[in-house]
Amino acid sequence: MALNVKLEAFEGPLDLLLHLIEKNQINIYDIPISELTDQYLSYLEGLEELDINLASEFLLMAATLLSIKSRMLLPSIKSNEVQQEECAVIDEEDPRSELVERLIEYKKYKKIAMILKEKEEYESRIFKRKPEDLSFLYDDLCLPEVSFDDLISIFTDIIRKKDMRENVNAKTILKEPFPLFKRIEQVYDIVVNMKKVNFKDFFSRSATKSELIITFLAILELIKLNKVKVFQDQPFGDITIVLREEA
Amino acid sequence: MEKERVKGILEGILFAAGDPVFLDDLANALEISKEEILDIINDMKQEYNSTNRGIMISEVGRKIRLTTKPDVYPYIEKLFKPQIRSQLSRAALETLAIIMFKQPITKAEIESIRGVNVEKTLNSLLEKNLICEVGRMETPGRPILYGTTQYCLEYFGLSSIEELANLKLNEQGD
Repeated sequence: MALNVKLEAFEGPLDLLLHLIEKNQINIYDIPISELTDQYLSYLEGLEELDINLASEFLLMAATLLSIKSRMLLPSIKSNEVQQEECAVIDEEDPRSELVERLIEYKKYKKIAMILKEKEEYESRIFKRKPEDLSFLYDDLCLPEVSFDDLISIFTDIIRKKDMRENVNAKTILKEPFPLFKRIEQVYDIVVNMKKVNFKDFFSRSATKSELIITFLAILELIKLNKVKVFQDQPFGDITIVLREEA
Repeated sequence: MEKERVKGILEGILFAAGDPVFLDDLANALEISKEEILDIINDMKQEYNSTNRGIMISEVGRKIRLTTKPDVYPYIEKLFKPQIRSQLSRAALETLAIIMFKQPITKAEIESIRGVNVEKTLNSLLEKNLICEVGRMETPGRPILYGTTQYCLEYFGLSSIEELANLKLNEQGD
């Protein structure tokens, strides 16, 4: 084979098979499996170094091809009845049919991918404006959303600032002083009443470490349940908790 | 409200917003029905279509946006030398194509169609906010189900996935 094709140029074994099928102008519904397998294998042999991750997928397909080839060599039980037709039409017994289906399905998505590429190129030639900064029109509640990382970093901040009075005794297992579900209710009630609460206000200086943690968990839980929303007006700034309106 | 007045307001809103604006939000702000807005938007599209305009209106997902026309690009390029936006790899495009039409879909299902591992591709698509996790399949292992995002439609300038399906059918006719 004079043609030097790198494996990386193909998006997987199905892509390589489709390439071979198109190159040899094979009817996809009647693949000469022996010929195709030979060509496929010779591509693999042409590889000097094998990236094992990449190659394993190609090798799996090689094994599939060989398995189909060997199954086709075996005499089929029905062969006497359909001998005249020479199996030109794929019946359900055809060992190739599963591969053909996969190839056709893959080909479909390959085509869509090409349309997407055209769309992407078209989009890269049009320009959108940067959104106008309209934040001054709102009150101070229009703030960017806060990520969990921000919440965690502020929480660590509070823990660190606080003088830990608790005596650290690893052997003592305390009964949970404050059940989480109760704290969730409390925190929610506070947010409902105050409408807008500073994240730091939930963590009073006198609280113990486990209380702080329970409170933090309660806030996370309320966010997860979509009961409250958190905002932060600037990086490292204060985080505000507000009630999420019912959708 | 007078139709021509609505056109002016829509134009102003879209200019100020920059980002695509939800049709529902436009309807709320102008206090007229979505159908009326769409009707007027279609009128505006045609007006912008004439060659003496350099901007156009298009729909992406359920949003409306105001952008430059692609035929202005060569001149913008000459003047501002914009950075070439990085484009998606073929692997990413193929994976995205599968997710678009098969969503919600698991990683294993995508892999069985593409015949290759898609772990890395999925991560980069997630990072680019083109796809997101939409839930879990209730089978052993509870695999993550993926779907495309609204931003994905904006990225490709598609009004809907159906639009893409129609494009595909047209191409097959060729």
